[in-house]
Amino acid sequence: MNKLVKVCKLGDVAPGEMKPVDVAGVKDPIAVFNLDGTHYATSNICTHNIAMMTDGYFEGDVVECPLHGGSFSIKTGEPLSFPCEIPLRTYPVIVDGEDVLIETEVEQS
Amino acid sequence: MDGLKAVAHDIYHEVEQMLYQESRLICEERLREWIDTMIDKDILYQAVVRQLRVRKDKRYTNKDYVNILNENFHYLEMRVRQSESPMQWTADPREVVRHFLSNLEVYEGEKPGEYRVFANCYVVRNRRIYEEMTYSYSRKDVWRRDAQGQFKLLRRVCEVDERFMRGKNLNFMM
Amino acid sequence: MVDVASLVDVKSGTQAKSIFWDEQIYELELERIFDRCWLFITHDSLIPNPGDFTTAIMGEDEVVVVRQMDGKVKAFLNYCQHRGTRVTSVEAGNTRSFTCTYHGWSYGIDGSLQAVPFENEFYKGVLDKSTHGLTEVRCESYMGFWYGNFDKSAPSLYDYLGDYRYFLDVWMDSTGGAELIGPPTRTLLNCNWKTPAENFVGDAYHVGWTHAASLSVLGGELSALSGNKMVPPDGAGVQITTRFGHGLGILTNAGPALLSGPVGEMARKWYAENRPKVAEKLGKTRAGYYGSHFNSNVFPNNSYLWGTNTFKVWAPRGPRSIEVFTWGIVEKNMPDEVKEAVYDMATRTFGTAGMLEGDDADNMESMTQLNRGRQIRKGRLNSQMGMGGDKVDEESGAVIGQSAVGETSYRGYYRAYREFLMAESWDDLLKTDPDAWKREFLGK
Repeated sequence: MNKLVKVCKLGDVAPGEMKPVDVAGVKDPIAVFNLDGTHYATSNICTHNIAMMTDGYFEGDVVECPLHGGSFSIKTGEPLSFPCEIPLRTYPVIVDGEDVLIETEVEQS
Repeated sequence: MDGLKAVAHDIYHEVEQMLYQESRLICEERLREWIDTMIDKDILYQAVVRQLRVRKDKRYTNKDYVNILNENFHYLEMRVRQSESPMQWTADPREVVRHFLSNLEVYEGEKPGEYRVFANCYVVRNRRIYEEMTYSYSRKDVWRRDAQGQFKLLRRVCEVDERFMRGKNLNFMM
Repeated sequence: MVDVASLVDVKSGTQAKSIFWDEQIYELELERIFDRCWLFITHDSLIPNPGDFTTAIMGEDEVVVVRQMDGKVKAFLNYCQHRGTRVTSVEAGNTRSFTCTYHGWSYGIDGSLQAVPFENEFYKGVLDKSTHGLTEVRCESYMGFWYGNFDKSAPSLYDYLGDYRYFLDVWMDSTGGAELIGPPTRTLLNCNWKTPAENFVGDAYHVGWTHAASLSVLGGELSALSGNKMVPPDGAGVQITTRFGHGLGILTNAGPALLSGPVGEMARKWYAENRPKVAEKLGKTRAGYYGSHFNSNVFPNNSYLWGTNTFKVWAPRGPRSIEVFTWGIVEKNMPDEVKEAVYDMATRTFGTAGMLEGDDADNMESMTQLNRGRQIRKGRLNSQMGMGGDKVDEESGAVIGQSAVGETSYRGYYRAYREFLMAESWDDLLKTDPDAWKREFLGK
C-alpha cells in the first residue's frame, strides 16, 4: 500500500543539486532533485543500463546518466535522449514542515 | 544559402583571377610584391587548428582551438622580412609552395566593395632534396576593393584539416 | 650487442651518434627511461573541474588523465580491458564515464568497470568486474604540473625534481604560479626525441646563428644575438645541471625576449613590478633569475622556454621521429592582456607556424637522419664547451657553469642518460650517495 515516506529535510539538497537516498522499505533507490526551490524525486536507476542517475549531470530540469549520456525529465520521467527509451519512474513529492516526503508503496518489514 | 548574396559573373571571374595571381606571387617568392599590392593595412590573417572533442560535450570549458597564425600587418610584414633575410637558412636552398585552389565561392560582403570568398586549398610544398609535404585547409577571406580598384585582403581564416601536422610546420603563406 | 657504457663519455663530454638511430638503444630507452621517469601529462588549468580529462602520451603509451569528483587526479592507460581498444578517442572533455566503442564496456572516471552490455545474459556470472578496471598510472603534481610514472619504486616527483626545484620555483611559485594555455598543437618531426631535448636543455650557442633571420626582424632582448653579432658579456647568464639530468640555461634579464613595442613594455613592466616580491619570497639570486630567459628540459623529454613562454613534450615515435606537443605557458596572475600578448608571441615563435620553430626543424632532422649512413653513425658528438669551468653551487646544490653560452647542461643531461641506461632499477640508481654524480661530472 502507498504511504508517505521521508526522503530528506528541507535544506539537505541545495537548489541545482541532486542527492541519492535509500529509504527503508522502499525497493527503488531514490534521487531527490532541488530545481529552483521545488523538490522532485525519481528512481535513481537508469532504465537503460544499471547506473546511478545522481552520479551523472543535473542541468535545467534534465538529469543525464553518467554511463551512456542518456537523459530524462526529472518532472515527468520522460526519456529525452539516446539511448534511453523507457521512462524513469517519478514520485509525487510533498513538503510537510521541514520534511520532504514522497508517496510510494512500502514493503512490510 | 546562409543568407549570402552571390556576385555577378564578371566579379566572380575577377576574384578568381586575382586569387590565382596571389598564389603565383607566393609560389614565385614575390612576397614583398604580395604584401605591398594585395594586403590591406587592416589585415587579420589567421590559421586555426582544432582539438578533438566529443560532439555533444559542452561542459568542458577550455577553448578547443589554437590560432596558429594570428597576424596583423605588422607581424605579417615581419614574416616577409624574415623570408627576405640572407640569413634565413631554411629558405636557402629555395623551397616551392604550390597552391591548388578549388570550390571557389564569391559573395557580397558586409559593406559595399567588400567580398566574402570561400575556397578549398591544397598545398604541395617541396624543400631540400627529400621533403615533400602536403596540406589541406579551407579559406574564408574578406577582400576589399580600394580606391584604385585593386582588391586587398582584409581578413583570412584558414581552417586546417589535419590535427596532427605531418607537414611539420606551416611556415609559408597560406 | 650495444656497449651501453661507451655511448656517453662523461669525462670527455662526448656521445655516440648511434643513440639517435639505433633500434636496440631505443628499446632500452623505453624500458629504462620512459618506464621509469616522471613524464609530463597535464596541468591543473587544463582539467579544472570534476570529470574534466585530457589525454597524453607517456613514452609511446597513451593515457587519459581525469579530475575525480573529490578534486583528486587519476591517470589510466587508455585502453579497454576487454579487447584493448581506446576508451576515449578525443583529446579533452568533461565526462562521468568512458565507454569503449567496440562492445560498449563502460568505466567510471575512477577507472572502475561499471557496466558490461548483457553481462548477465552472456557472461552468466563468469566475468569479475572488480578486477577489470582501467589500468591506473601513478601520477603526482608539482605546483599544478602533473607527471605520470610507470615505476612504483620511483622516488616521488618532488624528489625526482630535486635540486632543480630551486630554479623551477622562480616562475612556478614566485608570483602565484604558472598555467598552461591549450589546447596543444601536435606536429611531426623526423628526428630522435633527444635532439630537441638537448637543444632546449642547454643550447644558447645556436640562438644567434640558427635563428639569425627571425631574431633580426622580431626585436626584443634576444634580437641583439642575431647573426652572432655580439658575444654575451660576462655575467650575462649561467648553465645549470642537476642529479637526474634536468637542466637549464639562464640569460639574465632577457625576458620577454622577443616581444617589442607596446606589448613588450607591458610585459617588462610586469616583471619589474614583481621582482621585489620575488626577492622577498625567494631571495636575491632568484629575483635576478626572474624576468630572465630560461631554456630548460625536465628529463627526459619535457622542455620549456620561460621568457618566450612555450612548453613542449617531445613524444618519441620510434628512434627517428617524434610528436611535438606545444602549449603556451604564462604566470597565473599576469593581467589578461599580458597573458594574451605573451601567448600570441609564443605561438608566433614556437608554434606550428613559429618563426623560430621552423629554423630548428632542419637541424634536428638532419642530425638524426644522416645516421642512416654506417660511417656517419660511427662518429661521436661533442659537447665540451665550458668544460673545466663548472662548479657546485652551494645555494641550490646544482652544478653551474658561469657562462651565458656553454654546454654544461648537455653534459649533465647525457651523464644522467647514461646512468639511467646502465641501472637495473631505481634501487640501483638510488644506492649511490646523492653527491656522487657531482664528483663523476666534475671528474674529481
